Amino acid sequence: MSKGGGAGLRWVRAEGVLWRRTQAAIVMLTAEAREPFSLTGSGRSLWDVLGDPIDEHALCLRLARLHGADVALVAPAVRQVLGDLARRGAVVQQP
Amino acid sequence: MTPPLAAAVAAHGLPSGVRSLPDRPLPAHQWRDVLGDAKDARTIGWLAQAVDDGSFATTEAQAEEAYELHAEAMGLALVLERLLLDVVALLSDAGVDHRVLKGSAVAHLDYPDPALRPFGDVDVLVPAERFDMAVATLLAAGFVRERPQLRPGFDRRFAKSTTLTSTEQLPLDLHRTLAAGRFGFALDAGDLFASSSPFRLGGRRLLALAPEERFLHACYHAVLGSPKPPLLALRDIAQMLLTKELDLVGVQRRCTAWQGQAVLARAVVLTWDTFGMVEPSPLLDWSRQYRPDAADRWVLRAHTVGRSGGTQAITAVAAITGVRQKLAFLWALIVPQRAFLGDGKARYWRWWARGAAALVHAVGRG
Repeated sequence: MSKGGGAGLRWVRAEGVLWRRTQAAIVMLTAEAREPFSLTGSGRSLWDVLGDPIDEHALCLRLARLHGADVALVAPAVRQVLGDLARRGAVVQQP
Repeated sequence: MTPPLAAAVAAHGLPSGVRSLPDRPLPAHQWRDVLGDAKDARTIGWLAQAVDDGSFATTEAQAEEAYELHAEAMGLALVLERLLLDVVALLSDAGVDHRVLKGSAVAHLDYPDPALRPFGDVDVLVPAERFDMAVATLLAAGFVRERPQLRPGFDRRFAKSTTLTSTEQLPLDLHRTLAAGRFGFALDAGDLFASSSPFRLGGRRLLALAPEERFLHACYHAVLGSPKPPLLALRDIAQMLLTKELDLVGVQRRCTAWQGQAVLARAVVLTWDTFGMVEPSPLLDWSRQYRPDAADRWVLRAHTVGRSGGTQAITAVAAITGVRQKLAFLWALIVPQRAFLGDGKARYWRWWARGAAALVHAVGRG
């Protein structure tokens, strides 16, 4: 994840990530990982939105609207999850 | 779990499933059975869906258990899909044509959501003439054969498939054809590479069998793959027939060419009866009227109630073309290489005794 949220860059699911949506979680396996991991709770809707490239601010707005929450509260959590997903190779940034 | 409930779970979401699911939470011991059966039969995707949409009443804790088990099954599916991608890359690099069979291909191509359809191994078909090359490629990459072949060249010429294990102990079935015994020899596996259905996985384009051949393979697996038809295979058949636009004329044409009408008819009837389906289908009408001849009934028995590898092998002899091929097949059965049997004369005699028993059984039944 680039510093400052990667101005001008958009987040999207990495092409090589394998995933399934279950009732409780998004289960995924990245190209680099040996073990699957899960995104639960509102992470599931974050994953849905990442189907198409989206910048971080727009992503936060979408999720805040979706969950009826204040964008200022949503943004730090989104940044943390994106950082974790990026480290695992599940999401990438593109122009 | 009583069979009707297991079938009702597996039929969930089908247009014409008439079996009912519990409208109040089951007692703990029955729920444990439901979960255990859904795990074993790989029907957890439909159980989780039925719980989620309220069709299967549960307590909150039971629902969580179902969802957790489903997530576990999907984790395994993903690990297997990673293996599939590795296998496909290896075969492609070695110039070996291939088709993805069953699990991942069916999950992605025949279901609205691949999460509904768990699987427990990876199945890939390669052309018979490239079989040895495919095995050598995989062995060089660290895969291990489950056991040596009967005789050198046997698998390439006669086997349905060879099971290999990855470095992470995951199972891969490398197929030469779609079925064991006579039905396997009667179909021309080379024709299966003339067409395909593409699907995307992890950013790659993979090739599966064409829809009609995928459907027939599901029928072969349901009827010939185990003594009791697996609910998962029956669900695949129902799914493909009721929710996809299958070319039934094409199905019948291929089936006739494969001499597999008895398998198709039995698979369709089993599917309708198991799930209590009421949906009309011209294929069902044909299947109910179809009467297999004595030879087909004998072969079907070798795969079901009188199931034995030896008997299935004996049924294959008639379908093997050429006297030399028949003799090579029989010779391999009678005198397998030492590596296949392992050490000790006793193992050879046990093998031979099993073969003789199968022959007696086959002749007796035939």
